[in-house]
Amino acid sequence: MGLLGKILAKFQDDWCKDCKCEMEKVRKQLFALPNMTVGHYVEHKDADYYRRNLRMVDKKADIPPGMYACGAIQYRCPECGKRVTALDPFLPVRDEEKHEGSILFEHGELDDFLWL
Amino acid sequence: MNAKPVKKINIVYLLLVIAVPIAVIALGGLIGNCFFRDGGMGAVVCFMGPTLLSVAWWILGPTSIWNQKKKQMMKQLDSQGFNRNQTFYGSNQTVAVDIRQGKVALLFFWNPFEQYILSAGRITKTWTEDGAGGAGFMRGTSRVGFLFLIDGVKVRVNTFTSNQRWRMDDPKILEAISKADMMVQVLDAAKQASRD
Repeated sequence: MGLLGKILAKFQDDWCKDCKCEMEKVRKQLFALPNMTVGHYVEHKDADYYRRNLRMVDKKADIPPGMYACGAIQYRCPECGKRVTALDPFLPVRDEEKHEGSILFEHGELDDFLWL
Repeated sequence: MNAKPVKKINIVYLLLVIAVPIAVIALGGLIGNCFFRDGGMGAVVCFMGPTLLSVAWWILGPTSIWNQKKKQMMKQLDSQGFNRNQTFYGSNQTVAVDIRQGKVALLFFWNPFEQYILSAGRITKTWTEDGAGGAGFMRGTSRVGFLFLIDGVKVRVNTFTSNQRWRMDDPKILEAISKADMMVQVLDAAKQASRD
């Protein structure tokens, strides 16, 4: 488990980097990013940007064509209790998705936001 | 607003772009043939000069006119209170849409001296063409775009073109389909607004 755990912790969003164990999914939510449109995607690492711009939606079909969506998953480590929020901005295109790479917030930057 | 029917190609401009340089080359050749039969610098200038100028014109002329007219059109639209909610610069057309006022502005590469600002109500059909072809793992496309019929004239604006076939789930193709779908939705919204 030692080496495998380290590898998984490094490359998997849902593995605790401290305890090297799999974290449990606490909450999952889909958002729209209305000010991010096709051809104009810019990656943001600032949690405040997402607090200001993410709009909660129920399903992908609620997002108009050309607008970016963002999946958010909050994980909690069952051993140390650490929370991690993973954001996954993507462009929904009919039945497909164009993913731009996930962004991790490991210091509680978005912990309360997902519960609003 | 422009009441004239949409014309994608101005035949006179198209002929001028193609034919005038050919005429200049022919004239240069004629002068060279008549006055510099023995060769020399005069012959070189008469034969080579017009040819080089014509090639330069064919490469740069229409493109620079097109770029200048596009800039000019955007300035004019802004000064006329046309709120450009969405502007798409295609290789041969530029389409700007004012959703709230239900207006569409068009400019064509082969008719750059005529700007069209039209009511979106004149659009009768809008659709996306993903150009998908082939079966199984060979399924792909080399051209994606959005199309609309305005005054019965079909306008095609490409969001992606290539000389190769790309997979339908390739990020470039997904982005092109998304752009086309978005423009179709914007045109439909403007069309709806023009009726309200």
